[in-house]
Amino acid sequence: MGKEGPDLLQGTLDMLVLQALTAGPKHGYAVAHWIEDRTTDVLSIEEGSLYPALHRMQKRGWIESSWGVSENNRRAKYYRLTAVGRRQLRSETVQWKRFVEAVTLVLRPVEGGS
Amino acid sequence: MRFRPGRGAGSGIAPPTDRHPESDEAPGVPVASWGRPPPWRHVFFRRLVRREIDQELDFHLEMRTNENRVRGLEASLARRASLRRFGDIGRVRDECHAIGEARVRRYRRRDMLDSVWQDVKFAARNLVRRPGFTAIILTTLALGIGATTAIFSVVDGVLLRPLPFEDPDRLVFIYGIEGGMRTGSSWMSYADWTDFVDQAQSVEDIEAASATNPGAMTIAVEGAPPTQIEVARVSHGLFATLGVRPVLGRGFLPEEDQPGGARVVVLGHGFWRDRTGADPEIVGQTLRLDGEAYTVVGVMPEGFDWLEAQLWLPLDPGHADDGRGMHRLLPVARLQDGVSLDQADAEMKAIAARLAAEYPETNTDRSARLEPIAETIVGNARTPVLMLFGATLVVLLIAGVNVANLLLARAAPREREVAIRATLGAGRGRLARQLLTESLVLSLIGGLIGVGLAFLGVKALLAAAPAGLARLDGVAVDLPVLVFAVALALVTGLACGLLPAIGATGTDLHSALKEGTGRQTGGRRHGRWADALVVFEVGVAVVLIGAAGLLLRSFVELRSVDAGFHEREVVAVPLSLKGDIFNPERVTPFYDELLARVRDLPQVEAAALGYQPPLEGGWETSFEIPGVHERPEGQRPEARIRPVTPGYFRTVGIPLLQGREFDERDAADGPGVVIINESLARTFFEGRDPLEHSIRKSNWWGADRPREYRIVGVVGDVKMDGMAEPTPWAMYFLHDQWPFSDMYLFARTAGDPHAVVPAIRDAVWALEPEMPVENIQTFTEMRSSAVAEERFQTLLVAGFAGLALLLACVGVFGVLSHAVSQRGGEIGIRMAVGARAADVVRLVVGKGIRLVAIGLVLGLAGTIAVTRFIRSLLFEVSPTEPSTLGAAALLLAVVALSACAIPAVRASRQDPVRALRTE
Repeated sequence: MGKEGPDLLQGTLDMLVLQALTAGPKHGYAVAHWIEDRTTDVLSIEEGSLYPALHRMQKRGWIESSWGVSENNRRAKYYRLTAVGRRQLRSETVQWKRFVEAVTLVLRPVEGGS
Repeated sequence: MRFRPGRGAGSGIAPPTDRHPESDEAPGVPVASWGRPPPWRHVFFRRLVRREIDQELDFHLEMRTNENRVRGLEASLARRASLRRFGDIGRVRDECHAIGEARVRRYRRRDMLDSVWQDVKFAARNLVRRPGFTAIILTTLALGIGATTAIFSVVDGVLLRPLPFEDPDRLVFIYGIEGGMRTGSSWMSYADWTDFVDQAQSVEDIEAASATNPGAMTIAVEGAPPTQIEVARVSHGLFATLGVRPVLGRGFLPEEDQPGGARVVVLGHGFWRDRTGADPEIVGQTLRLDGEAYTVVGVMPEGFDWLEAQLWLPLDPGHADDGRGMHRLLPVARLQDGVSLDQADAEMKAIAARLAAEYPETNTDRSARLEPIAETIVGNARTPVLMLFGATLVVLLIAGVNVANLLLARAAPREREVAIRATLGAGRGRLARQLLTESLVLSLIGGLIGVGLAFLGVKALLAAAPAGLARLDGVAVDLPVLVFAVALALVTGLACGLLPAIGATGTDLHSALKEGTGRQTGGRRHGRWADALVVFEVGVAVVLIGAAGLLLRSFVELRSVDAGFHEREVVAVPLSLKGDIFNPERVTPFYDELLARVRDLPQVEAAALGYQPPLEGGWETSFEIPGVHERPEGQRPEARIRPVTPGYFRTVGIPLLQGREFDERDAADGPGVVIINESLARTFFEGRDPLEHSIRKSNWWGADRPREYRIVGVVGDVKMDGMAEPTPWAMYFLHDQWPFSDMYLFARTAGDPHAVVPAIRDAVWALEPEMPVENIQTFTEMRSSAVAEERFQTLLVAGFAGLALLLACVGVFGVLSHAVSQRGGEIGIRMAVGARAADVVRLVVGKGIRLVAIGLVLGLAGTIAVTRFIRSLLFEVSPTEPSTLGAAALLLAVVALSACAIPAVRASRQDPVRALRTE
């Protein structure tokens, strides 16, 4: 993870993971891949942050897990959203959008000068 | 998360297409449920959590590695690349472990609480479903726990509660010992005390208190007749040494202890509350005591009642004592830090020896000993209180055994069910926990009811207890007692539930499934346990009943002691003329006139004066018998002194054995006369006629008192130290020659003595209007209160023994009934092949006899081992007295065997066909 304010980035990571799960249950590898695909590899998640995040969110009750069998016949731990998790995703998305709008406003060209 | 702008348009790797089986697009394999893993996996949860995380991370690694290989990397490079993406995989693993464990721990806690709650609900439902069964168990437990809790409150209040002094373990009383003996509890004289204070090094302070001079004073109250109140004189440092501070005002100052010191008084808390209405401005006001004004300087805290006084005055030596031989003070001392009791005791003895050498006339053969104040205050109560507690524990044991048997009986039929469930994988531990929960729920509810009973019980106990029992003011069902009750209920519940729980889970599955009916197997093993428990409870009951029997016998012996005075309808009125103790000019006319008036009263048959009522005290003095028994000072024998008026012995009913009573011939200024008691005569006048001799005594009051007293009569012995102690040597002097101001008026009446009391009061007040006339007792009342403590103890223990007997009986009844119902088939078969009803009865009763007999034998052995501890409470009864113990055993046997009757008869009345059919 970068050296910037970890909370913001970690919160962002949580949000992305939750979003990844809206399309249906996934295992950790699938979540990482999904995010890379959606951002066309612009964002790439480090596994060192992903799994602690997944377990933390599970402890908080935002996602729940179950063991299943992957397509190549290996046992894998699948995660899916809970109702609480859905609510959490919604509120985080709203906050993120507000944040982006605020930053965009700041970065408007300043009148009169430079 | 890495942000890599500029890399776009995909990486060329196909996204994973495996989907979770439950997602819409693909069918799947049945999996374990979402959410929490099933509870039984928690058992090894830590290892499990780690294993799962490892698997998860390995899966990811493998997928990444595959991805890299597809991209063209060689196998080991591919793996290394994917590992690198993880960063420090060890740290990640540990972090996930920690989070996972915390999560699972939380689940586990919630699960356990859930299952406990489930058990509780299930238990409650079960209990409600069988109200009769539940009621019996609750009653039994409530009785057992309630009784034990009530008596524990006594144990706590009397024995365990610390004394209300600072560091009470370091406080000791200094007692004097007379006549070279090893023990004694005599007090100390003022002169001796000052010497001890000067010489003692091993104690910090020695303070003293006196309660005999005066022991009580008259307090004048507005608009009400004057009353007596107990006072004690204390040295100025006493309160500080004890570590007790007044709640209002101050204690005494050093100058107040000196002769002529100010008239000041410190109030006790009860007095302040009751007589002055807890007046906060009481300090500085005055009180009239014995006609003099005393200024209040302080109020002591609640619960402080040193020497049982309600007021305290300074230790004015002028009042206290003239002679080194007048032992009126009780000294208390605080041991120095680091000094042991034995060291200090040795020093006191050394000081006493020095004084004996220095003052041979008064201190020969006098020694000293130390006793921790706790021992004095509480010591006497220890044995009876512990005995009572033991009695209630017995009751609780028996109650517990009954409950355990009941639970066992109910658990037994379910054993087959348990076995089946066990083979299918259900936890046996779970069932055991269920049974235990049921037992705990029962015992907690029973305990709650028991605590309620204990409240009532303690109240009744305190109301019925004879006055003067140590520290009863602190007995209450307070926090420590409640904690004890809860702990007791838990322990009882666990103990009672243990057997059924073990029984349920220890089932031999194979045989349980094989046997015809669950009834039989469960019944057989349960039967063995039940038998053992019944033997145990019978044995334990015998011990308690035996102890109760001994106490009863002892009490009867005590009651039948000949007190020595035989009249019954006599009233004793304590009178006290204030002023100097010994003032002939005032005392003699008052008492002469009073006696004349009282004798004139119509209901009064006879009246006389005596010093102290027959069963109590009196003071001792040393004497010599010229020509018969002469010894130097300090080695003379001591006898009890009682001044009496003519007619005393007749009035009170003491038989005259030789010579005559006092009469008109004996005058105040005539030759000295004395009447001795039988013990004295027997000891000193063996083979001689006492009437030919006299007694010579040393004189304290005034030089004009005669020194030799001719013996004019011998009277029968009277108990003077309570009913249990032997009669001391006693000498009765003529009141006119020894005009004491504090005397008792004895009046024998034709009818009820109480009826004459108002008239006597009037007669007294006609002569001395300010004299308190209270604390009047009749001889019947006196005799009763003399044995009040023993009566109280005995009744309590007998009550508990009765309860134990009842419970044991119920236990025997229950076990036999159950055995009969268990063996119904066997009995049916016997009857079918020709057994008669009588045979069946004999079978059942035979079993009962066997059980009870074993219990009795074990119990008697136990009794003999245990009752020696109550030896100190028994009067003229040996702790192993065979007739009493035999009677106790017989009682239990008869009652227990009669409990066998009903099951036996019921068994014989069974329809054999039906019995066989239910097999």
